[in-house]
Amino acid sequence: MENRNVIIAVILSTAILIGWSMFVENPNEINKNKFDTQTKTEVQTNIQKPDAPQTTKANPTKTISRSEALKESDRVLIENSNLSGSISLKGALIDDIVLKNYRETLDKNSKPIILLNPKKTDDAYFVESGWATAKSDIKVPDNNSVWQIKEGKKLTPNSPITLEWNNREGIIFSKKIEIDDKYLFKITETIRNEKNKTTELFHYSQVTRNSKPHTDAFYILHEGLIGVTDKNLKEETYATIEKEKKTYTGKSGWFGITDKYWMSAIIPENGKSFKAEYSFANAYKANFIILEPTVTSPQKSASSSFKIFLGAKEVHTVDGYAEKEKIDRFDLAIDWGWFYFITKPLFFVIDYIFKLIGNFGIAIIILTVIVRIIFFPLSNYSFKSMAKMKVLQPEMLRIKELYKDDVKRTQQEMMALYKREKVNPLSGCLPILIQIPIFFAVYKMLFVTLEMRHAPFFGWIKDLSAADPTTIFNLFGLIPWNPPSFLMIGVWPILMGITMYLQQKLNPTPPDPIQAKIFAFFPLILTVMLATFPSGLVVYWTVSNVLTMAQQYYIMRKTTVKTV
Amino acid sequence: MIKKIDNFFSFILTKVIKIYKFLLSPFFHNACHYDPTCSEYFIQSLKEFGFIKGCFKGILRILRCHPIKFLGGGFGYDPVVNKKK
Repeated sequence: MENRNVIIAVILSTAILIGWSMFVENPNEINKNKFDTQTKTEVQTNIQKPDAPQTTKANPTKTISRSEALKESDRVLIENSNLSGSISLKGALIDDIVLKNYRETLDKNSKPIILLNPKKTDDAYFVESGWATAKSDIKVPDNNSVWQIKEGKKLTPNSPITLEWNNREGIIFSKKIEIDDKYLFKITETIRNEKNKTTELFHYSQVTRNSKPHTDAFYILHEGLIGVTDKNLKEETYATIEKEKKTYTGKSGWFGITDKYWMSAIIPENGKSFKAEYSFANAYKANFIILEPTVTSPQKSASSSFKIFLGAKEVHTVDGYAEKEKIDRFDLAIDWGWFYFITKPLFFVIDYIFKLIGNFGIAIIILTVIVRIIFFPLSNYSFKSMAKMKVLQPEMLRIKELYKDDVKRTQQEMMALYKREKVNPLSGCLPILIQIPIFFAVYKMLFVTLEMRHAPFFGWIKDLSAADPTTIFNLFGLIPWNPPSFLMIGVWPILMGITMYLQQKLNPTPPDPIQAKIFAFFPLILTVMLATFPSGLVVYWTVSNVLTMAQQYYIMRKTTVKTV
Repeated sequence: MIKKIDNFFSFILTKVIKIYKFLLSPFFHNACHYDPTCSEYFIQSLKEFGFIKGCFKGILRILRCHPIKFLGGGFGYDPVVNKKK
């Protein structure tokens, strides 16, 4: 019997491990077709209007390193308290952005996060903007045009810069670039017409990314092309865009490419009709073009402006931009998911506690306690009836004795008794089911929000958003051996398993023998599964188990009647 | 045709509820206030009323299954009743 259990355990865990690596660690294969069923691209509104030019056709056969690429053309430096980088004067591309306050790993000396890379590098990732012509009768600047600095030396929050390019046919293009102290750029592009003919040009901007980054590839998190048109979120995976392009039209919104924590997005001016497009041709592209031409009469100038977000998706920053800059549903840049209305408030509660206490791990524990306190009266409304329950105990025992061979009948008789005496020790289904979305929201919050990244707890937990780094298979670091990832079962997951096991012991085993067996293996299965989850979630679950047990113990003592 | 689709969805949901009842509900040690329990009630009402109305009735039942009386909580014997039959 014992042996058989062990065999079942081994088989079950192997199945989970294989399933895990198939569906969770590499879900790309499976997810590829998932979005195909979505609506086909919307009809193009106006065929005469030009598309944003596909400027990066030439896939550079020879790529060079980042530092070499940065030396290739003259540059204007960018610096504020969150970003550093530069703009290439060749093409006026924003193609070098470093998020200097975020590091690649937990090591304080590790490299800062590099968001954008110049065009000639392997993983080129840059933002451009410009003008498109309907009849190609006007020479417009492209990726190889060399711009002159007209104003400013270095782009900082206090000193905007202006670039200029003369097409030598009577039209002078200029770009005024401003930056705030976080991640927002404002670009005003002006056309000065010195010809005798009126010009009509269409303003566009585009984010281009050569290579698909290494994604966490988790089905609950979107990474890839992202945007909003007229309040509707438009997310597409890299894989979908490789197969077909998507076109949208609207009057307000933003478009770009997002990673789990970082994003590059272009934001057309509110109220102007635009056509936006996600496409793939050697590189992933998200662009918009304003459908109304910018008309410049002779000897006059005209301009059009837009904004660019290049940075980290910090909750307050992103929400702040949505509100202050009136960017349509910019809050959706963070993938809060279906339970937006629970996840986000939950984040604000945790963030508030964090600001008081300074440790996200403790904040999670306090949140768990708060959730428990809220549900305590709900699940144990019977405080008042507890005294009564004690009085009723002999009667309950009698019922149990009377129908001891008939579980169903016992339950019915108990119900009748509770009803007669107006007491009820049971919580009901609703309070239990409500807690499931809360659990999922905690998980999602740990997973998606930048604030949880590299947030330490105590001891060996240096990052609550990552799995517990210890493992029982090298005795938590005593043996100098690094087991493969599926054997990384740390201290917290094991604690979770133990508390869960104990909690089960407090409850009656289910009557069905197979059910009882599965039930018995649950702690083991969940330990293995949760070992790869964010450690913050495991902490939440463990504390939750302990509190449930304490609560149950307390009530059992109070009532001295085991709930049926 | 509609009938078939309806049956299909009901069938899937019934399976899901049965899996829940088998795997997860033992965790909650018979918390349900009613007889039949919410999951049994849900399955029966899917059978009686079809997918949409069945779901509606089932969800209403879950919403009644809590201890706070003035918010509609209750307990006891509460079977699925189809008045048309």
